Amino acid sequence: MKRLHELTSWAALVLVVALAGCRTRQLPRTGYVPAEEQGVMTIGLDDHDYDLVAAGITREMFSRGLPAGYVVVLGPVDTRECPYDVRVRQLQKSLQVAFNKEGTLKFMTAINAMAGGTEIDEIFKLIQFNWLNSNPMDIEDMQTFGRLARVNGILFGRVSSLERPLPGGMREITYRFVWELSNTATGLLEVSHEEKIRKNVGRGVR
Amino acid sequence: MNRREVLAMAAALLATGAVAREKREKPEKPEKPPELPPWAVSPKQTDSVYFYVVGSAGDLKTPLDAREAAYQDALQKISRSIVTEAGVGEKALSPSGVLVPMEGAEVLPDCTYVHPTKGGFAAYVQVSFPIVQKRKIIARLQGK
Repeated sequence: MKRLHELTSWAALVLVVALAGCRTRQLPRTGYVPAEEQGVMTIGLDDHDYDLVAAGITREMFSRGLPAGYVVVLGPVDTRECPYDVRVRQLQKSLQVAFNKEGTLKFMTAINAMAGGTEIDEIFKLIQFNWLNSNPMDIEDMQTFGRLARVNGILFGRVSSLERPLPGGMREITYRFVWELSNTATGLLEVSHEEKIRKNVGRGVR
Repeated sequence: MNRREVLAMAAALLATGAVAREKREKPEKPEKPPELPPWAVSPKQTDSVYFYVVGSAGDLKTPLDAREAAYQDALQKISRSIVTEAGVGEKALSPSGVLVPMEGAEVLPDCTYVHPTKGGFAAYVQVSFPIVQKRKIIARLQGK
């Protein structure tokens, strides 16, 4: 009888300890979430997507062994084949930060590159026109631009997207970013990179 | 109760049921508007090369007419934005409300949406216009 009483006491003690463990204190709640968290899936490009795209092209350029001090300028980015907003300025800033952190390559925006005068501006417009109309690049234009703006490479971009319905009212969207880095001295393609982002989005999400 | 009374009672019951059922019929729901594609609700922002507008038109007889009218609406919006920026007023526009010539406007791929309405067809199109071209027209309008 005494043994049974002892066992019951032990069982009660274990139960009390177990229940106390179950009732953990709630952590204080906060509205902040880690900035890297991917968040709600949207049909348009979100912050996480821009991070992925910028990381992809910078990784590719750093891994190609471009000479130290090589200056890259972000040229025209054609987004006409995408019905949704593509924030080129945000991409530009992310690339700038990544280049600055890496240290060996230099990054310049087209606006800064054109600060040299109207001649650069005019040549850049020609280069832009050729890229947007899928015309072959004029090597002379590239060389003149490179010399006047003191840049080694122009990074061209093309963004397109394909969308299709999925069962249950969901939609699938695939964004394709194609990057081409052309050498301004030779006119040759130094880096060509493609980054794809594929997302499934629920009904009513934008 | 003879057969005739039974039949009369059954008919009365049936009629009452029919009336009651008629009363329970739901009122006609108003037609739900179709869900517009996200690009029609929030058009693209201006990027480094192009600016974008969404043109719309409603109650046209055929889908093609609706699409064409939506495209014209987009051209009118582009033209108005250019004359406003140039500060020359709408007198520079043609009678159709569009600047002539207007080169470089393109409907984006997958950015045409046509749906039937009570009065015919409605359409939405998203159109891009090169910023370089816009600057050129502004300079011309300002006589530079």
